[in-house]
Amino acid sequence: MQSLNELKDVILFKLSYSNDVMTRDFTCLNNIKASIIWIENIVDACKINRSVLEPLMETKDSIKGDKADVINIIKLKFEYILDTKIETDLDAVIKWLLCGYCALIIDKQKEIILLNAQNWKTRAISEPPTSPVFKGPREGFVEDICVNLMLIRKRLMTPDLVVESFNEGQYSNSKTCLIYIKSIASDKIIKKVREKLQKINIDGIINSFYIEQYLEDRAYSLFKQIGSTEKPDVFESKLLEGRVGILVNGSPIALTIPYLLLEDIQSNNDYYFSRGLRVTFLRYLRLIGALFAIYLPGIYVAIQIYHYKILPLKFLITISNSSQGIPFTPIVEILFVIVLFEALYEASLRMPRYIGLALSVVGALILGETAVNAGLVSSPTVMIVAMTGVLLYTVPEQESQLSMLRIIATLEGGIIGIYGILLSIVFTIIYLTNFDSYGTPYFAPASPHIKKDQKDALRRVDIQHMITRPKSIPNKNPIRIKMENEDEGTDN
Amino acid sequence: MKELTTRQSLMLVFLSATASKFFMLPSNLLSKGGHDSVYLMFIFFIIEVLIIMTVVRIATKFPNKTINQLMVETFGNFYAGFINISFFVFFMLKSILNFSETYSFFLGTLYDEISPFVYAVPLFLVAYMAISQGLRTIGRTTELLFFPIIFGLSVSMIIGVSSIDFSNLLPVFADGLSTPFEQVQKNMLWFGDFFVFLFFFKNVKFDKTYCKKIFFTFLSAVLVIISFFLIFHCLYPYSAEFHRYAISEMTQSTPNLTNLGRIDWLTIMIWTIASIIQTIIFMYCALESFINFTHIKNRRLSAFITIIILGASIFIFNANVQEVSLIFQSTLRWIFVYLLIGSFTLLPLNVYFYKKKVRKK
Repeated sequence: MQSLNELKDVILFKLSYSNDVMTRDFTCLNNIKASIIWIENIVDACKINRSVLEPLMETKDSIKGDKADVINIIKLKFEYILDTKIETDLDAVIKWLLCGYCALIIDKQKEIILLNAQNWKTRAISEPPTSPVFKGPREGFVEDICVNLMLIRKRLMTPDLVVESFNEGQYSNSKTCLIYIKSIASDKIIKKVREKLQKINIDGIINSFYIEQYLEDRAYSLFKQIGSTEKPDVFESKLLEGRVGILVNGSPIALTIPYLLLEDIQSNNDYYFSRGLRVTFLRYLRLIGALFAIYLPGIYVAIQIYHYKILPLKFLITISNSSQGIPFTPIVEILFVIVLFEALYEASLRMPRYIGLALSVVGALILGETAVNAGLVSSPTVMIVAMTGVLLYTVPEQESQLSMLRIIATLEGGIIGIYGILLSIVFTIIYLTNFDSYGTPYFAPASPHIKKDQKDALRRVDIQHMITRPKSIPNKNPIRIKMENEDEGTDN
Repeated sequence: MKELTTRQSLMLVFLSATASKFFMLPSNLLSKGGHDSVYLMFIFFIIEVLIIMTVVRIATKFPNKTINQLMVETFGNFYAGFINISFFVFFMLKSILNFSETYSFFLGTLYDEISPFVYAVPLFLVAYMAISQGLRTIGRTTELLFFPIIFGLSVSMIIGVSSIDFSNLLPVFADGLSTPFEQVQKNMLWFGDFFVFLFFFKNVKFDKTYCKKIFFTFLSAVLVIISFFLIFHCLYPYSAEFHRYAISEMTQSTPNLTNLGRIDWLTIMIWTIASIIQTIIFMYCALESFINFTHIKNRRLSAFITIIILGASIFIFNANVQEVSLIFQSTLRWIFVYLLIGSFTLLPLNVYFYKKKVRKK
């Protein structure tokens, strides 16, 4: 049996004699030597003093019988501490120490008592900057998974809510949770996600995006295949639709599976303040906005180069007047402006906020204005790119993909004209119709057309008419609203 | 699980039946046959409807068999192979015609110059991707694009209808039937698009109402085609031959639009997607036939070979739609006649023999 010092030394060795590993030796229970080990900053030192050292050092009890019972006697002292464990495996002890536990080692005892004294500092719950709402819940996920789980449990007070934990990352050992409602979510999807999570073998998980790439079927695709949200209310609604969710410690972004393209055209605002007709209008507006954002620069270039006959004469004269003297071809000109705007966007994201604001003003107004005045680019080109830059944010979740597609469509428009753009539309659709997100077609419920799901697709009916869960997402319990009179349960 | 939903199959049949009929056929048919040829064309469509209804009845009786399986089980490998080669040739010719026609349309309307190579390579790339993925991908793509396509066609027709004189449709059969009949018969290559349905066998769930649904789908396609032809004839009763690309000419004589440039071309462009889809579905059928008679299991390789054969054929014809249509209007038209009439008698016979065979067993 190892002595106290030997055991302590092994633990310190395993923790690389790091300077933030603290130890404290003391005697208790009539001169039994003990030591407590913890990692500074991640545990609450007061809690160790008050809840561990004080009760042990002040007690006058002594061991009268078998000394082997010492662990049980000490353990009794901590009964009021909710989370205590006894471990003999030193690797497990190290793991718990790294999670904010303190280890109590008793001389000549191979069992080590672990006491939860976690003291993670977390950001306060606030409204996420990526998805603000006008009238709706303003809570957002934070980086601490425990807080995030609390937010979900607070909203879904059901015994059917299941949380499965995994530790991902050889070094980061990040806690990752698979969350679902067992009476709704499809077992097949849960099994597939679980298997994929178990297979992850990486040194560290920095953010949920790392997990996302492991869960995607086509890791090299431009298009996203996993849904994401920063808001617990959205996460809750997705779980209620039969999806499974994933939370990763250290990331405020929750992932949801399966993902449908239509999800991003819908917004949480749609459910909080507008009635069906208005929401339907807004969704079509977003879709058309996104399509314009992708194809407008391409169509503009194609018209300028190949199909100028399409334009009304006055418009054509305006464009040709403003393009006169521009040293670049239309395609180079528009790509120049697109790249300029992309660079401004990228710079404004990385600059300190107060400089970023100034930069966007300087970039958008002064650079654009000066470039036009200098005769480098024409004003319609700046206007088209600026307009599509705004339209990209009608579907903010898809911004990065739309932005790339815009560049591709512009190149196609410039090289082959409108025919190229038409082909690129067909190509993109063919490519995406072949996508299946965990058995759910990417374009569902538009293609394959699922009649029942049209109630909350591009069109949205009022909540009381959404009697069933979306059929597009495999689930075990299709009924959402139980009607008092079953005859009323027909689709409207 | 079936590759196509009922809705997708109906949309595919509708687009296959209509897509290529609005480019050069109206000008070809009406310039020599007059509006009487349109009425006569209706008779041909009735024959097509009868064929397709027969085909659907057969498909309903054998929901788990492809057309090739049915033919092999009934007539044996040799005869099935021969039919598959015929189908392959048929769909290749249709693809060539489609390609040449849309290429010519783009060249005559939107482009001052576009090389056939630049036109063909991206189209083949898209087609390769679609046909190697299979019918499910084609069906879903069609379903997504169907309503914008119909919107494009409707806008063109509505704009056209606003400035026509319906009295141009009279008198009926004043000069006899022989000239219109000859013209319809000469332009057979533009018909028989419903053949694609043969390749939906086993891939669609045929329920009891399917027969009715396909009947109304085909009927609506026929009505759209006939209406289009009649509107076109009313617009250009004496000068149809000078308006070769009918769909782009429909809106030209509308004075309000001419002041706005040719923005109607944008809706016409949407309609050309239908032509792209039609080319893809023809190539899919050609690929299936190719796989059936060559027995090459590797689908991607077969798709590649099919596209190479198509590409080579197109460049032999030099992508000239006039040449293509002249060749097809002469001797080659009998291939179409054979296939159209042949299939009409062949398929019921096929089923009859197959049932007899099963009963014997």
